[in-house]
Amino acid sequence: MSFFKKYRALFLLILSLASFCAGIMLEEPAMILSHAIRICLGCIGIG
Amino acid sequence: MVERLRQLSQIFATVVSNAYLKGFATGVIYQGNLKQVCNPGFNCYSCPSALFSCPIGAIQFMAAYGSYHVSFYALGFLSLIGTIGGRIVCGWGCPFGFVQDLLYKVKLPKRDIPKWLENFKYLLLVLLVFIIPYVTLEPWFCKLCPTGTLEAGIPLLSLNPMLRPSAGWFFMLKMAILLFFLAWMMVAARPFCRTACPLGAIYSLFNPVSIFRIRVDEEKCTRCDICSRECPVSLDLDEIKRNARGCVRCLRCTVCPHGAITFGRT
Repeated sequence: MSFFKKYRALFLLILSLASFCAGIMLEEPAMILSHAIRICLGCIGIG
Repeated sequence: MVERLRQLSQIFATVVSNAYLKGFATGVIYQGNLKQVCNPGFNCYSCPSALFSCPIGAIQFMAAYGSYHVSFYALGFLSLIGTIGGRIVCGWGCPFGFVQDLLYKVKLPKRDIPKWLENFKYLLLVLLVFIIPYVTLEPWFCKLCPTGTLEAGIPLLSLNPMLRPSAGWFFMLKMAILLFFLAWMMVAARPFCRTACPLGAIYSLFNPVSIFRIRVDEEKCTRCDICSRECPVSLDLDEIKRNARGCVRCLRCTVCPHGAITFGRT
């Protein structure tokens, strides 16, 4: 079994965590919040 | 036993995702800090009772307006869940999946879904969630999403008379998409998850590599096909064995009377 195949879940876990933390550092949650607190007109079918 | 536990888990996920009941009384959506958190399941964030953000909505928003046009936060969150359990959220924690499971209980003749249609969700993911929102600056998956119509469009238009005059042909199109899927849900198992859900499409990529996976013990397996007959998404034994992308991880196959199928850490 290749090295990558053996540890692929671990690699993915580290990559996912890194991406998640990068998103937090880029203040994405605040941007998402600013969007999500308004009614999405597309979601309700009028925009 | 597994099925009972799964239903309880689905009810719990639906209740927690939609715990802001005040929204249904006032017609105003929740605007607190929990909306910074993505819901692991599919639940429209414009639903009056929704507490969390829809990750697909967040990805589209960041594709259109983000600094790098990629939502590292939402994609990292989803891949984290996917790496741990693959599509486990589809089977156990998705409010819209729960709606589909309930509607499938309606006593009508059942039909299967052709396998090739299951690839359509990847096309929707790439086009409507990443590329078109980036180009047009509009969340085009949301605009066509039947979950949004059911959980946000119908309740908010019912509760806000001011919004009603704005509902024109586009709302009718959304209603037609919703009714099509609702009818399909009564005759086929999980049609939205299998053919159109971009969240399921993302999670499905992790099924074969996730930490927790379905394992088939070759020595105990008698190829009796009970697992395949139990599987709501019509996977055969070989597909179950290789944790195929189509598996929604409902774990009904673990009812194997020979104890050959288990779900656990690899």
